This record gives sequence, structure tokens and C-alpha cells, in this order.
Amino acid sequence: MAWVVEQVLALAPDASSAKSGKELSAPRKWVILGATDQCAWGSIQGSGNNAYQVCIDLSGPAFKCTCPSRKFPCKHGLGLFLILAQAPGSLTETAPPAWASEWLAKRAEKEERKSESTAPAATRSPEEEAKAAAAAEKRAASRESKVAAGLEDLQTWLHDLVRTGFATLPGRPSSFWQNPAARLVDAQAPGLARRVRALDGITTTGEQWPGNLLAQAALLDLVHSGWTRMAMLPEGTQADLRSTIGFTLNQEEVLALEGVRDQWLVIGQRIEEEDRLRVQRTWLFGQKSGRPALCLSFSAGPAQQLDVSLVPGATIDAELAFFPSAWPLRALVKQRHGFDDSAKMGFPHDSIARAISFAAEAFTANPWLEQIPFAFSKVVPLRRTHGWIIRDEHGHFLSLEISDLKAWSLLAVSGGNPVSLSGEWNGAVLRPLGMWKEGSFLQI
Amino acid sequence: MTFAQLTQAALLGTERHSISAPAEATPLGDLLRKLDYTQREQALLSATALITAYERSGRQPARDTAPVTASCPEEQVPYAGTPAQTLLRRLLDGEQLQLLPEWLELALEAKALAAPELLPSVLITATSQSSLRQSILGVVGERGRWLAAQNPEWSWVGGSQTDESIWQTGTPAARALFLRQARQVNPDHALELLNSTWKQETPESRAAFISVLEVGINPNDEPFLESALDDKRKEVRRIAARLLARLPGSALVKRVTERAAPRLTFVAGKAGGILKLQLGKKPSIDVELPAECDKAMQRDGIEPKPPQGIGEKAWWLMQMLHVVPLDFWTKQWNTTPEEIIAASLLGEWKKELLEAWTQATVLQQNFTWAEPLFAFAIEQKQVEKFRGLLHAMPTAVREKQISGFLGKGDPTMTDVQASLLTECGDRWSIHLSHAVLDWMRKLTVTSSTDWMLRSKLKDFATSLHPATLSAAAQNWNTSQPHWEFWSKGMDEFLAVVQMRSDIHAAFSTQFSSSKP
Repeated sequence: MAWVVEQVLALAPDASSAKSGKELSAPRKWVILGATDQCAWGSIQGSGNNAYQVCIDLSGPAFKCTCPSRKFPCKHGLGLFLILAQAPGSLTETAPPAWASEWLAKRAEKEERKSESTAPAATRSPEEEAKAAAAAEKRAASRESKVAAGLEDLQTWLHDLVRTGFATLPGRPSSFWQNPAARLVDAQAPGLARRVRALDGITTTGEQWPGNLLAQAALLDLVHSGWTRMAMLPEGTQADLRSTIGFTLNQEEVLALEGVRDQWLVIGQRIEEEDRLRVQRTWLFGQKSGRPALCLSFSAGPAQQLDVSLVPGATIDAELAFFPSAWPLRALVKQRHGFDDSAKMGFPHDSIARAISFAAEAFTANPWLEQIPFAFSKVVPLRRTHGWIIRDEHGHFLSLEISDLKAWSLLAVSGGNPVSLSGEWNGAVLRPLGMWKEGSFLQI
Repeated sequence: MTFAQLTQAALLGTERHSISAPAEATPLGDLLRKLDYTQREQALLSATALITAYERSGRQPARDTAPVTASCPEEQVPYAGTPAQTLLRRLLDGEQLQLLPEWLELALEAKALAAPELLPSVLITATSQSSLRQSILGVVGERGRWLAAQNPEWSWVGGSQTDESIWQTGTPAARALFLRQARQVNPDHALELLNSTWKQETPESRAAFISVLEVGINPNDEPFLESALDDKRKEVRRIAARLLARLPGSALVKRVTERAAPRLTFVAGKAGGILKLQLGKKPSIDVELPAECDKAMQRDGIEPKPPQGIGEKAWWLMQMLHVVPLDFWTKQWNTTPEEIIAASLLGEWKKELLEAWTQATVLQQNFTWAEPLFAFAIEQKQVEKFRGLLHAMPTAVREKQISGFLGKGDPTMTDVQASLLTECGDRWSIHLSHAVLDWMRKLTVTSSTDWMLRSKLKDFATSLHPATLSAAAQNWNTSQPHWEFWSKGMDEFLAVVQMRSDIHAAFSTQFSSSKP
């Protein structure tokens, strides 16, 4: 598949890497440049006497570079990739050098080994096993009681909030919100801590803030109600409750579940910074099943690379394993069979009404869902006095949350005609992710 | 019970305001009645959760009833190919933005449009840089005009370029742009248009529009400009006088010449006598300053108030000399420009006369005077001061002067050479480009700490003739020790050269036209 400059730059771990990468994207700076269908390679003079060897496995994509940088991908990898995207004719060599083919061979081996059954854990004696199990149980029990206490504390705080009334809130310092959030972190309930932290500053978000705050407070209180009745709840809701609180499931456990194989269209991707953590949400829709999926990737710093293998606009033939939920959404890629450009693109939402009832199902099943994906086959972007909207052929509309510049670009590409559009819906506004014009995907 | 009621209760606080069970006989009402309203806080939160869930589940999409704008008309012209669009995006993102005019020129020549997703960026850039507006109009196409019509900030785009109704109904910015284009195509017709609405225009508009007449100025504009000399607004009068001064056959020029002629007298020289008993006398110019700056003189554009450092009466004379055609003096006194210049050097008014002749040369674009004045400047080692003269020379002459000057290997002259180059216009001939490259190759192997000069190198890359770009990219002696100092400026130079090459390459290959 063809790589576009924007996709390449999106791989950069930070802005300075992107800039350095662009500077290195001039073919004249490279000593050797070459490519095949599977990979691209190059050699570039570094500072000092050494030349760095750079290689990209295009099926990932994955990067290798002999430079000492800790960033991933480094500026040399980005530069080489930009050359591939902008000036592929400069990649004149056709036979990979030894160091490149060795690395590619090792990668292929590793992939094969991963798909085989995982090696059995180091053997332990029965006593050691029992000891390990007991320790794990103790930790779990400790967490449960901490969380229970944290939820009681949260409920008390929420009740105080509505008793004294919201009118006194504007002007409260940040600590008013950060302190209860910190207590929740101590109580090992990081999911709730994040939601409480997000309330800091809500009083400045416009006229609707009291209603929004009340709704959030009610949702948080609902967690407490659910926790005290946990055993009576259906399994899916139990899972959603625990995940909202911040309990995480072991990745191996999820991958062990049965997978759903489909042609998954990657409808869009968004990266957000939370504290010092970068979170990447990749949304997919199964072309045959019409099911939505969300793949998350995290990065705690420039050395940790976000997963770049799910390319927005591409269709991926893969098996996904879903986290248990009343409305399964979050998933992990269990087995991947490659890009698949052949499938005809189908969008699940052919009208706004259909998308809204899709949303109704979702929020009813899991009230703590923060956003769900929409992917429309035909909507028209329009400008209105109160902001930007999309409108379908039945005359229904949804409000967009989008910057002016991006909205004008959206309008320009559509030319007033219907386009296919994807976005994140939070119950009130749609944040666009991408659009399709004559089959090609444009990131918004 | 509504969400709004609950929000109100939350604002006030349950200690002040309680909620009570709702009465409605609905399933939701039944659920809500199950709550314990004596537990005020819990009741409020639980009721909210129920109502929120209810609203989310039952939400219906709203209808938009406002009229939908018609979709944009078909393009008549194809889009530029992907490499060109990628370069445009890089330019708009701020990489070598000074090359944007070149991209636009090439696109106009190739009759290719900018890609739709780039249109807003293009329009925003031209809104803030109005010098780009005219070129941008050619690459936005029907879609760009359709888009601009929906944003008041882009109203300068106006409708189709040939639609004269812009003159009647457009915004001032759009009308000014339209007038400028009309002057390029048919100056007389454009003047008619301006004349037709002149009396109704605001003073600001009059000032803006009359300065557009500079484009395509010709003798037919004289009657209009002459009557504008009496306009109520000073700026309009000033511009009218300035424009009339550009028309050598105009009544204004004749009037100023009549007033100025008696002020200067050429005193012929006397040859020295035999036996050198009588000293020879060189020719000189006697100057009689004007006594006053009356209303008639002011009407013809003479400013009464002098700038700092120049006497009042001298200033009036100098202004008159700017306007009097230089050929008048050579005819009147039957001499050459060289002789007049030499004669001006004797006497107390040397400085004022030289400045007047220089300014006149530039304003009147008179190159028979430009060359001798410039030669004088070189001889006096005052090239910096007189560099404006370069603009009065035709391009070929100018380039010859500069490449000659560059050829002088004097190391102390490098910054003068550099500043002359910046006077040499935006686009150099192949010959001058090669001369500059040779000069740069010599420069970059010499030791220097002139970081100001180094920072100018990048700008030279923009002026090189396109045919010389591949030569400019190669054969730099990067392994010698002085390169380290020069590399900072040269890396930028090479980056600009590379990008220009890419832009030219993008438009020269047969682009695959995306279906418009």
C-alpha cells in the first residue's frame, strides 16, 4: 500500500523528531537508498565518522537504525520513510544489503514464534506455585478493600457537592478536584481518578456546565451503587464497572479468548495526552459483522512507541479478541493476516437515525462509555451560525466538534456533496476522525 | 421531573432546595417514585442517573431545516499532480514560504489547480498576504470561489474574474483587486469604470483606487488625474501628482519644467589660455533657489515641509528636479549627462543636486543617466548609497553592472556585493546566476565571521534562474575547513535550491490529472 507523508509524520514520537526527520528526507544526504515491496533501507552519514544503517519493514511498519538515539522511530527512520513517501524514485537499489536482510529474517522468525503456542512458564515446584497464588490472592483482596473504601469516600464527596450546591464552585482552586482524585489513585481506582481530574475546570466550559457536571457526578455515584450490588449484576456490566474503576485485565487472558476474524476497516485514530501519558485510540469496524472495535495504545515517553500497525483508512484482515463487556468495544489484535485492500468498503451507518439508535444501545448497555465510533456512508458537512454540522439525506443533523481550519477543509473536499465520514460520538457532539473521497482516506 | 429541574436543584444545593417524587404516570415516573426522597443527595444523584439513561436511550436525532447550499460547480481545469500538491502543503505549513509565489506562477502557467483540502490554507495565507491574492485567484478554481463565498473573511475572492458586477457590489478589497486586474487587460476601460463611480466613492476608497492606476499608466489617464489634483482628500491629490509626474507629456510636467528652468544655469567652461596665464575654468551650474512654495506648486505635488537635514527652499527645488524630464536639461544646455554630473560637483549645492539627479533617474527610469551616475558612485566608493540607480537600468545593463562588480575579487567588498545583489530583482538571468554561483564558490572557501552575509545566502537561492538549479546543488567544496562556518547558511541555501528543483520538476512532468 502507498504511504502518504501525513501517515509517516504521524509516526513521529514528538514534534522535534518530525522536524529532524523532514530535514533528513533529502535524498542527497543519503549514501545508499533502496527498496523492495517488503522493505526499504538506507545508509546515512551521522555526525562524526560513522554511517548509520537504517531499515524499515513495511509490513509493520517496524524500524531499525544503528544510531544511538532512544527515540522510536528515530529521525533517520522517519527521514527514510519520508523519502519513500515523497520521492520513491530515489530508492535506487533493488537488492537488500546483508545487514537489512538479516534483520528482516530475524523479525519473520519472531513473528512465527509468537503465533505458535506460547512456551510454558518456567517450571515451579507445587509449593512455589501455591505460595505465588496465595500472594496474588492477598494482593487482590487488599485492592478490593481499598477500592471499596475509596468508593465510600467518593460517594461522601459527591453528596457534599450536591448538598452545598454547584453555585459555589466557580472560583474553587484546582486542588478542590485534584485532592479527591489523588485519594482515588491511592485507593487503586485510577479510572475514577481520571474522571474526577477531568472535572477540574468544568465551570469554565460554557453555559451547560451545571448539567454536565451533574450528569458526570451521577455516573460516578452509579459506580458506587453498582459496586455494592456487584454480585447481582450481569457479567458484562460487572466487567464494565471494574474497567471504569480502573481494574485492568491481563493481556494474555484476553488474547486467550476466542477471536473474531473479519476485514476490519480502520476508520480513524486519535492521540490524546493525559498527564504524562499519551493514549492512542484506534477505531475499527468489521466489514462483515458491522461490529465496532477500539484498540488502545499507550506511551509514557518518547522512547515508547505507540502501535503504528493499524493504519487509518486501511483494511486489515485480522482476528480481534474483545475485552468482556456488556457492549464489547475494546479489543486486542490476536492474529494478523495483513492489509487487505480488496474488500469493498462498507460503512455501518447509512443514516444519522441509525447511528443514534446504535449509540442508544451502547450507552444503555454501558452507561460509563465515554465515546463510541460512528462511520457514515453519506453525509454533507454544513456551516451554521452556531457551528458546524453534518446532515444526512433525511434532514437529520449532528453537531461537530472541530477546529475552523479543519472544518473548512472538510467543506472544501466535500464541495457540498455527500461524503463518507467517521468520528467519535460522546452523546452530544461528533469529533470527526477522517473522511473518504473517491475511495481514498483523508485524516481530519 | 426534568433534567433541567434536577440541574437547578444541584445548583442551589439540596440543603436549600429539595426535590420530590414526580407525579407522571409513566414507566419512568414509576421508577423515579421508587427512590427515597428523604435521602436528598442520593435521590438527586440517582434520579439524574435514571433520567440521563432514559434520555440517552430514547434520543431522537434533530432536524436541520436551514437551506442547504448548492454544491460547487464543476471545475474547468484539472488539479495539479500529487507531487505538486505535497509541495504546496509543505509551503503552506511554513517550509520556505517565500517560494509560494513561484509555485503559484508555475501552476498558473500549467493551468493546474490546488487540491480541495488545501484551499482553506491557501485562502487564509492570501488573506493575510495581499500581494499573493491575484496569483491565488488563478489556482483556487470554481471550488475555491464557492468556498470563499461562504466566509466573509474571503470576500476579496469575489465571483468569477470576468464578472464586472464585482465593481458594483463587491467589498472594497475585492473591487481593488478587480480594478488592478482590469487595468492590466484594458487600462482605458478600467479607467472608465473608476470614473463611473468616482463621485460616490468614500475618501478611503478613492485613495486606494487611484493608486491602482499606477498599473498600466498611460497618457489617456491625464484628464482624470489632472482633475484629481483638486480632490478634497490630500492623499488622493498626492497620488495624482505622483502619477502625473510619470507622464512626461503631461501638463503638470510642463508646468513644473517651466518653473524649474530659470532656477538652474549652466555656466560653460573656459579653456585655459596659452602659457597658462589664464587658468581654465571647468563648467559649473548656478543655482537660484525658489522664493516660495505657492498654491500652484503645491497643487503640482511639491511638499512644502522638508525632511530632516535639508533646507526648505532646497527641498522645493529638489522636488521640482525629480519631475523635470532629465532630457530637458541635456537639450536645453546642449550637453551630455556626464558633463552635467561633473558640473554639479562644483559649487555649494553638490549634495542636493546629486541627490536630485539620482532620484529623478530612478523615478523616470532614465538609464542614460543611470550608468554615468552609477560609475560616479563606484569611483567615489559610495555604491551603497546609490544602489537605487540599479532599478533605473534595463535588466541586461543592471546585471552587467552587478556581475562586473562581483568579478572584482576585493574581499572587503563582499557585503556591498551582497547588498547590490539584493537590489537585483527577484529573478536573475542565467548569466548573472552563474556569476553569483562563481562568486559564492570563491566566498565559501575564504575565512569569515560575517554571519549577516551568511544569512543572506538563502535569499540568493530564491533568485537563481531555474536552469541553474542543478548546478547550484552540486560541486560545493564541503571538506575544506572554512565550510564549517559557511555551512549554516549554505545548508539553508541548498534546502531552498532543492525545494525549487522539486517544484519545477513537479510541474514539468506530465501530471496525472485527478478528475476535477
